[in-house]
Amino acid sequence: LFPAFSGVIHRSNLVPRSSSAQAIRWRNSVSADSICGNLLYRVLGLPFNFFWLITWLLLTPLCMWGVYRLETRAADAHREGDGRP
Amino acid sequence: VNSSLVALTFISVIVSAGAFIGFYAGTRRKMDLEQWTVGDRGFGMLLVWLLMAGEVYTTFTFLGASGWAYSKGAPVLYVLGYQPLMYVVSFFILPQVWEVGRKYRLQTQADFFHVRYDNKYLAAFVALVGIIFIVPYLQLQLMGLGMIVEVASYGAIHRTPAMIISFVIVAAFVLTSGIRGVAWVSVLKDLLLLFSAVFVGLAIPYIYFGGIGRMFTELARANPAHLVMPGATTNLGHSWYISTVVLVAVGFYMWPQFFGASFSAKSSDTLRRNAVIMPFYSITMPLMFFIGLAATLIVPGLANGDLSMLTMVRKTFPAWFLGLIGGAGALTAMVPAGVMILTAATLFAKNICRPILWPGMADQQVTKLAKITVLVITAAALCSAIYSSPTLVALLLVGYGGVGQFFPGVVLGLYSKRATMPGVFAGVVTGEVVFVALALSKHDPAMGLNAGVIALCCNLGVVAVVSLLTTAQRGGFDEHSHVSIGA
Repeated sequence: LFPAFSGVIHRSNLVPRSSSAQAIRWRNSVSADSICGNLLYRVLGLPFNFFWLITWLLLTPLCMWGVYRLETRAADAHREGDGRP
Repeated sequence: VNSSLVALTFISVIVSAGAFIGFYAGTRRKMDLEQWTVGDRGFGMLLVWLLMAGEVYTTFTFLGASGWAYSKGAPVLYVLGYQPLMYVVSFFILPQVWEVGRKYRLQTQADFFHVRYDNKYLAAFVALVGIIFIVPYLQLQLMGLGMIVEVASYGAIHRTPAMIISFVIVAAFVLTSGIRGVAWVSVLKDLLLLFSAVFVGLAIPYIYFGGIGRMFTELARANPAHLVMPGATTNLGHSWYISTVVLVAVGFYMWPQFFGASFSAKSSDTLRRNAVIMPFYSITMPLMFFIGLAATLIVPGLANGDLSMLTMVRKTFPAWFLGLIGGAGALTAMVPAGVMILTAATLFAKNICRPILWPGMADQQVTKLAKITVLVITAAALCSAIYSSPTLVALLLVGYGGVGQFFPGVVLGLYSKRATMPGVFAGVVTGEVVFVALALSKHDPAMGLNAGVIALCCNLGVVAVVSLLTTAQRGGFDEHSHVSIGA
């Protein structure tokens, strides 16, 4: 009725065998929550969630500078098209 | 020499220097309503940057950010989520707001609603809601200031007299110099805040742990749950995080005082460039989090998490340095408080009293009434700060939920000709009612979401439905040039 129990449950016994179960397990291991909520992922000494957000604090001005340049260029082209100074 | 005397001397010198700058900025200028509220629309990029930074980085930066990192843990990361996004929103909205502000000589947020939707009652309602939600934000500044001075003076000055003295100074230089005085005090305040945040934020992890990485290793070993959602809370999970980031990112520039600050700029390009460089200032935030997180290991069990930063500074550095930090913290409260008082007073006099109660008021009478209202609002905020004590972040989030409801009216007002006055009016009322009902019944967060976002969704739905059901008689600012706002 019950499977033989040797006394120690090895981690490999708990690994799901079916491919769909393995796919779910893989997705869980690489999901945003798993990465952000896992303190083993460290970049420059910071937990990944801190690192990710601080990186975007620094990247946002660069991205916005690009948008600003594009908008300024478009506005200049528009003025030249109108023949205005 | 007595430590408290040394610290108090530093605090007094810094606050006095701030007061002097504030008073001096307004001398030799005729303070009519235009000069007092929007600095004659002549501020260049540096002054606008300082003024905006002065309003964005407040006592919340100084105490609330480290306080939440200490007491709540990972949920405080919502601050790093919304800050870059709110500047993106401001990049697209504020220059448009400035353009219509210049064209129609607008001075307040309620003026914007008045001209766009051609209804003085909607404008008065927006002004009233703005004032109601400015008071808790003002209370936040007052409470923070009281805490800073009390701790930094080693308890020699109790928080109530500290709040009263500082706010009398703020009210005085707001009356004398208006927004120009506040902008110039921001110069000193921002220099001190940047120095304090960078120095203390880097020094504390190095002094106690040998570096930021090692501090996180210690934290992950001692209290790993604190570093991941929901931290030390039970109800602030990922849904709350995302909804709060969305609410604050769209709601931040809906604070009435930011409209006044935007109108003070020399050009719309000034505001665009300002939005590009402002996120660099946000780097002070993670440094404040580091102090709060370090404090969880070094001084565990503080009854009030908002005091974690000052407690760490007091434990680590000499008295003169604590005085320096205390002075910086006091200015950090005084500068935004100045703009808030000025904005609330102008909203009351110009958008509630003149159009609704005394239609015949001359511009000079409006200016005089606004200056009297400065004293009334300062007194009201002082009373609420002395007699109630929720945490600083809780106070701030209440405000965002309230002013965030102006977002559909502002954005649709700028970009859509189909949004109608009844639609926007009904939407704002619905949003405010839903938000207040959820907040008062302790349902914030509700269903895991920030109550302000739920209210904003209801607001947007009502605006859409009512606007579609009503006739769009007028659309856009171009067809409202007949509406006179006056100065």
